[in-house]
Amino acid sequence: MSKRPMNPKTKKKLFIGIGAGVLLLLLILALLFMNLDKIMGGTPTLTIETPQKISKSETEEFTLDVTISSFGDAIYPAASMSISFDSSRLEFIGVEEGNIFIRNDEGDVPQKLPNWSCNPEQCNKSGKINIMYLDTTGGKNAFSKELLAEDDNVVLRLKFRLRGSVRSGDICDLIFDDAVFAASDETQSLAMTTDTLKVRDGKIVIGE
Amino acid sequence: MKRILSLILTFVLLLSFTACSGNFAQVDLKEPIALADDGIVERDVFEKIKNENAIATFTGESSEMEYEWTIFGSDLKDTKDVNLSITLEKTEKGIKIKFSETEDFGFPALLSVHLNEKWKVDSATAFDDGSAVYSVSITGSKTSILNISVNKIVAECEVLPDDTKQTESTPSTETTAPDNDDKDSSETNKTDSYLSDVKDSDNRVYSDGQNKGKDKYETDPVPEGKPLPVEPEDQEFDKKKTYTCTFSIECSTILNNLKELDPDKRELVPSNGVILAPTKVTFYEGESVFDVLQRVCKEKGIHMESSWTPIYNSAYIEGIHNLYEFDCGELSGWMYRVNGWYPNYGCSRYQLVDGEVVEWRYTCDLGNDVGREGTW
Repeated sequence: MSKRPMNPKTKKKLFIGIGAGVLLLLLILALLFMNLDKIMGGTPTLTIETPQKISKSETEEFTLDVTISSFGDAIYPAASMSISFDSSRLEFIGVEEGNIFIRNDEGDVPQKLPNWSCNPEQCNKSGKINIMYLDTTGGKNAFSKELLAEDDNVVLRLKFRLRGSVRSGDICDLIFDDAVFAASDETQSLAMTTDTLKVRDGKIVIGE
Repeated sequence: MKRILSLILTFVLLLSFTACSGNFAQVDLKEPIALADDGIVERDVFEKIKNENAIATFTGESSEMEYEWTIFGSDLKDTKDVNLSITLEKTEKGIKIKFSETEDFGFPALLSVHLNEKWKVDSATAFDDGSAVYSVSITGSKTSILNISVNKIVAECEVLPDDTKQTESTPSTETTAPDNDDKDSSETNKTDSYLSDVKDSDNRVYSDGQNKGKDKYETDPVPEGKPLPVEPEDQEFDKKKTYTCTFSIECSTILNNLKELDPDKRELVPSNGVILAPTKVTFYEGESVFDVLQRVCKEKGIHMESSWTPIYNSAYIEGIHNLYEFDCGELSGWMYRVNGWYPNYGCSRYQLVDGEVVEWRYTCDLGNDVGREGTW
């Protein structure tokens, strides 16, 4: 069978088509590369969201969100965090529910929120907020990435009230001393100490 | 066909360009933004922060120390390109900060410097050529964070601890910069392990932290570097030598515990809890905190009642402004703090030196609500 030479016009079209295809491919690759961190999720980050400035005369309680960016592939039946704060300026009231569900062993709909435990009285005495969640069912009520929303995953909310001693311009840091999301397989746990969990501290800035 | 292909090609090229340039210019204000090498943040970014009323964080590093700027959209009015880069340098006594920006930002910004170690001081002040320019708050349990509210830019400043020889900057008082003698004397504050206690050039004796037991007036060991008590009977006044200190009296903790307060005393509590705003007062060499409190209260017409407690060899402050101990619960009463430290001995035994900051604070919880640590 003899080969018929390609029509120059067809050849040109083919080159242009291939060129466009390559460019399109390059574009996709570039976009992928730039958003790789977002696509891959990166190292999970636990963040105390810094709120807007709070007036020194604010007498109402206010909350600060503690959010997480992502989870690993494991399930996490236990979590704990320890946060330092200035108890001479802030009164820690307690923990409020976030919006991250835990796996629910009582039905198909995952609508159960974790029950965090902490002792505000002790926290105020020590200037350290110690919070813990323990799934006593052995994983049926654990955290897992399937239950995360795309954005704004609030693990819990810290509730405070300003003490009368605050002054305008005061800055109250909320600093993670420790944070862990423990997996049943320890190697998959997320922990500050092993750099498998990043943290971002928060600040409360007191305004007029 | 050729035209269609050209159009497709142009579209793809345009799309690539838009996507790439858009991605570089796009700033996610929810995430910390790493400063570029030149440190310049463009006006557009500040506009975005302002329009979204966001809280943005810009991070940088210098001399292996991380720093971050926190900027509130609500503080931004007129925006411009600003260089947020700073240079940090550890000095013998503190930290030197050099700002790359030469003009004022035009908005307040909060600078946080993360030290890689624990800095064992309660508070600090940034000095520019001997003048106090920023007050610095220090937080952090394992490592220290210096927080500075920057309103005005100086070329460079040095953050120095507010030790006994430096004046804390307070909003309603003039600040006094430490002179050269002060710097020299803070040098002598360092403890010599071969001496039992260290005598400073201000004639005050500082604890070396070696004593383990209580003294004869039931005082627990004084922490290292803090002044040892001076017995009132040993104090000698020199009226030719006068100094100044900053004095304040406040009871704001009561505002959080009004339920506990004796109802008859409610009228006495100022709405902001301040009985005497920070005020610069003069005192004579050798005077104690109690001596100055007595005089200040007399001059300002503030009620004060005290009683002598022989076992502690000191006056005990029962009430100020008619607010007495136990008026706001079983754990309430008056405490004093000097340069951020609550002395563990009576106010008649604390001999003042120039530039100290004395705060009388009402506690409703044995000091826990006013930042006192440790035991009585």
